Amino acid sequence: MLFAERVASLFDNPKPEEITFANGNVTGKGKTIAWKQACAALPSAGVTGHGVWRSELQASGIHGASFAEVEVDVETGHIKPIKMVHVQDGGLPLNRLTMESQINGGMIQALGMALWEGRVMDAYLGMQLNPSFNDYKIPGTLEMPEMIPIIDDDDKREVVIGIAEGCIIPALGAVVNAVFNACGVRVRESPLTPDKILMGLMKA
Amino acid sequence: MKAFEWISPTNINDAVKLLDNSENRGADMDEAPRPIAGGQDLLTTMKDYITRPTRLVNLKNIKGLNRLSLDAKGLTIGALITLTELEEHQGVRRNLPGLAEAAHSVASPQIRNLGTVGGNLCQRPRCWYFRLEEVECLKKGGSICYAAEGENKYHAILGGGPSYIVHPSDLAPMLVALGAQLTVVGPEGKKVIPIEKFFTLPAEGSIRRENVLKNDEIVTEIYVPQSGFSAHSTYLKFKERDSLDFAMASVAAAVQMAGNTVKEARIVLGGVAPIPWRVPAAEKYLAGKPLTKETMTEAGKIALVGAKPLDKNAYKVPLTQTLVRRALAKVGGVST
Repeated sequence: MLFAERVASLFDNPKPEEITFANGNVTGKGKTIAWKQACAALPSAGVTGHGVWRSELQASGIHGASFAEVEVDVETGHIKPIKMVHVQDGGLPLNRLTMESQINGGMIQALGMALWEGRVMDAYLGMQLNPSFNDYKIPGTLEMPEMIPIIDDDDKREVVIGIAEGCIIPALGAVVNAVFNACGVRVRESPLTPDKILMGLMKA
Repeated sequence: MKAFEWISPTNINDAVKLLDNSENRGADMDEAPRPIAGGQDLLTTMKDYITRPTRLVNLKNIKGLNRLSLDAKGLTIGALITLTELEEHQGVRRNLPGLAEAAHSVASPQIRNLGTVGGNLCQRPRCWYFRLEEVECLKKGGSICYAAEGENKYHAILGGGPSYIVHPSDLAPMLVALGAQLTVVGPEGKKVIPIEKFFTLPAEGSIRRENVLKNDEIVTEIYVPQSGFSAHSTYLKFKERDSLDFAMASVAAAVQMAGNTVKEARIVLGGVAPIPWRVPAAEKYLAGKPLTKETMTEAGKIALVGAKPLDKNAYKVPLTQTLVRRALAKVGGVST
């Protein structure tokens, strides 16, 4: 709006709200000029604006859903993640690329929790036995499945919330359920390492 | 890390002299001078004060330790050859595929670019009790193997006791299967040790060490004789995490075929015992038999006879049986 006020003189002074910005162009009163030219009309000191906190934009409560596909080698207990899909709402997306990256990150963290990451404590010594990334295993590039992040645009609330790694919550369950669906072993304690899968298969 | 002196000799005899520890008599054996090549294992033990050498003797300026040559008689690998150089050598890939596979299976590309063959064979165990600075376990001069009754998912099911470490090297099982020999240089000169005599069980050798090497001895060369086994060799390593991990269990297999039947087989297990664990009974069973699903499965069962799992590693028995069958199928070019 500030920008529109500043460049209105280029368009025979329409009201700021009559100026539109689209496809790299600025248009007002039927005249279209390039974004670069419009910018050239700005004062050298730049344009300064002040935001206002609008309480109605504040909200909480996001929702999402996860899907996972895995392959289980029933002779070794090895689990290969094939594909993960996550649909996530976070209110109004302000930066779609960041949001998709955040969804990817959440899927990776969930995958790590589900299949490799776990603190191992010694009951007698009272010490963590895997305090370094040598033994506390986080997934690497070879563990990554195909990942599809989907932003939920169907939510019509005009609110800005954010998502953090909210996708971890259902994605962990999705991976564990995929393993159960693939081999019939229900492991109640993450991570689902090959030893637990193999022992589960032997009991079944 | 404790402060240490760094010396770079240019010949092997000087290096051996620099490893002499007689002036520190009475100090713990893990404070003696150590040779360093790639440093990929040694530095990790130093950072956690598992070893506290007063001096590091750099081997990288010594000429002749980085020879890699293959002729009709066999393969000579200088101790300084990196895992990357070994796995990328065209002759090794063609004539000793199992050895190239074993080298490739180690850690990550960055570590393979620096880690050497000599260092891979002499690396210390990965047992998490051993690796924790605060824990004084049996292998560090203490009186308890905490793994015996503690968290022993990654520990030995064969040959264990009183320590239950597993040997971490991937090259070792394959080199045992290929009948390799090590050249070792010490104060008394040079000697050749068959690799099977190099590694020691905790109940036999020093509980503080995994091999016969003395503190002032250096592995300089590994020789793999050309044999009917070389071409039909494979190394199958099962990792919990594919990107970077030690073996939960592994199998080095090599066979000499006579037509459709096995003339002679070599099967060596990794990740399940304190040394590369050769299984003569399974090898003998296969002699004179064709490789079929039945014979390969049976060989796997025989290979694990006598396994004594601890509380948390019984899974290693079926896992290793599967790996034996699959490794044999691969060298025999048959389906499982």
